[in-house]
Amino acid sequence: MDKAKVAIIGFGKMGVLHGALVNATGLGEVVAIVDKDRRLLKALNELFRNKVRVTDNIEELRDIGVDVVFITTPIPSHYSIAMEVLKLNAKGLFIEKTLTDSTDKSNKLLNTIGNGVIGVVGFQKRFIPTFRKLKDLIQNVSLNEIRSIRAYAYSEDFLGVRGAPGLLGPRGGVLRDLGSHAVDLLLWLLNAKDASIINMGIVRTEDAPCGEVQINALINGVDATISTSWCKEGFRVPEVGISVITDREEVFVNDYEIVIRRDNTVEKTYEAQLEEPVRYLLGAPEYYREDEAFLRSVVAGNTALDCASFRDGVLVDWFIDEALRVYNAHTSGR
Amino acid sequence: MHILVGDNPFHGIKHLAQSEARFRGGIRDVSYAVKLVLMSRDAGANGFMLSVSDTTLAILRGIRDGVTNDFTIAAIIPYAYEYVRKSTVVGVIGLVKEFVNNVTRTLNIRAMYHALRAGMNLDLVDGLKALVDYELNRVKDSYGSKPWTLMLHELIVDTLIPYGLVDVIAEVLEYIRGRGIVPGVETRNLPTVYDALRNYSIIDYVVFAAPFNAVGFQMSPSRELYEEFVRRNPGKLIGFSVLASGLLSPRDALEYVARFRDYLLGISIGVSREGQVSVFKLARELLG
Repeated sequence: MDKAKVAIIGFGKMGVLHGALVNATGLGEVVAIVDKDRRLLKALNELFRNKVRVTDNIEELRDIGVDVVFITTPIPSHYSIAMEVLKLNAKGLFIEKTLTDSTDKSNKLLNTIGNGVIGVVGFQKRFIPTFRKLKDLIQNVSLNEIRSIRAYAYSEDFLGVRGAPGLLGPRGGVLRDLGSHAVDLLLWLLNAKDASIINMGIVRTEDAPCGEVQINALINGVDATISTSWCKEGFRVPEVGISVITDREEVFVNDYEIVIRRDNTVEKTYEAQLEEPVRYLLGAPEYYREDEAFLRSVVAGNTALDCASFRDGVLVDWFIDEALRVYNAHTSGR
Repeated sequence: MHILVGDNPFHGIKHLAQSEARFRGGIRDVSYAVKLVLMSRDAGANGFMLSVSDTTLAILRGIRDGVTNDFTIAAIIPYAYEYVRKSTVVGVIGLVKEFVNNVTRTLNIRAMYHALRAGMNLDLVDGLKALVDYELNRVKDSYGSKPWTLMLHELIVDTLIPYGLVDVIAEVLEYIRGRGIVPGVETRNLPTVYDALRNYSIIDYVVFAAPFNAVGFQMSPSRELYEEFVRRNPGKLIGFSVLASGLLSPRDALEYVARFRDYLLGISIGVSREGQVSVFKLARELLG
């Protein structure tokens, strides 16, 4: 296969982005768009003039013989759509984060996906050079040396928005919608297969008026704190930051920079200094890199090693469910 | 040579490290931004490149009496950040509805016509034409005259090109030209976008804005292809991010740009402090 035939299910902001990048890689071509909004379908039909199949019926993808499906719908719909897609015999399935909205569903999906299908979850932050550099740094450090890790995932998407969704409410809540990026990065950085949640709470501060979710956990024995909010002023685009404190130094990394503080010295490296231009820049380079890595794997028939697998996705969903369980147990007085 | 003041610092944007822009808090005081633009003009800048937003419209109102007619306004539409943020909150369809409501409130007949058609049919071309009229009207209301160029934002251009929807872009660029304004395209994928548009007759009138710097920062797919573009298409490109968002010193950055002074249409540089406006004096010295 030189080029994968790709279907996008859910043509909102993320669907449009991934579809454009699929075409830009030269490794895939969007041949079908599935959405449930009738007006959108009509508009897309006129726009693409039969060059792309536009439908509300996933079953139609079988006729086209799609190789790859991207699911970019709201999180609560991922599971049912993915189960339907897995009947199509596609070779690759990309699900925008998070995998599903529960560990049970994610596990069922993991157990259903066949060996010949490459399943990937859209945790694109793994493709930012600063975090890849941090992974290299952590691999050279004994876990015993790490005193603590603090991570945040912030945006100002809902800052000042009237009727903003509850922190743990629709759209999967801020934990799934945004905090999942920090969770995935921590589990990936520490090669974790397990974790234990110590506590979870919601704090309200002036700089995050809609509240901030904080989780304390032990990941591979390392004391970790994750904070997430989608009404944090100054975070124009969603951003993840991680501080790793060891006996010798503190390493702070976010989407843009690496700052190492050691013996009263500060060493700063910008992401731009680590980065090679991508073939096509839309949104941010990591989206291109992730889609390219995934499609390259499908076309070559290899496992997408650099991408987050379904197994990784299950672990993130488990972590979030466990945090919510601890929170609910605590707030219900049990 | 157009040497334009860029607006990123006025929106609190620093591509190199958003955390640094956050630490500095951006420029919330419009009167200070106005002062910076006028000081930059005195130092050698002869125009202002901006994404059309409430902030930059307020700056335009502030500078209109302090600049002469030859001060160039290059307007980019839309201010994508606001639209992306809104689409996160209300979804794409909700965004369209909100836009149509905003346009109908302006009582601009042309914009309303296209917006209503776009709202009824979700027609992309009509939606973009409504956007052109709506934003053009806002610039004229604030500045008192049309901008020199009206450019389509990279979010529109760089998204539509991979879908093969070049006809849409070309039609909207023709529409902008029909309004008596130089049509423009802002992109971070200049060679690819130019190749897609090169067979359309509008290409002769289109100007481009794209990153142009010594380290290839945000120049996809490669700096070399941008340099080749500039040499082959003199007078077409306004380079931005020439300082690579602060990665380069002004002199190093501008000495690189000066190698292309006979080919570039202009450059744009953002400043956030009074002490930085001397970069325009240096630019004038090196670029003419």
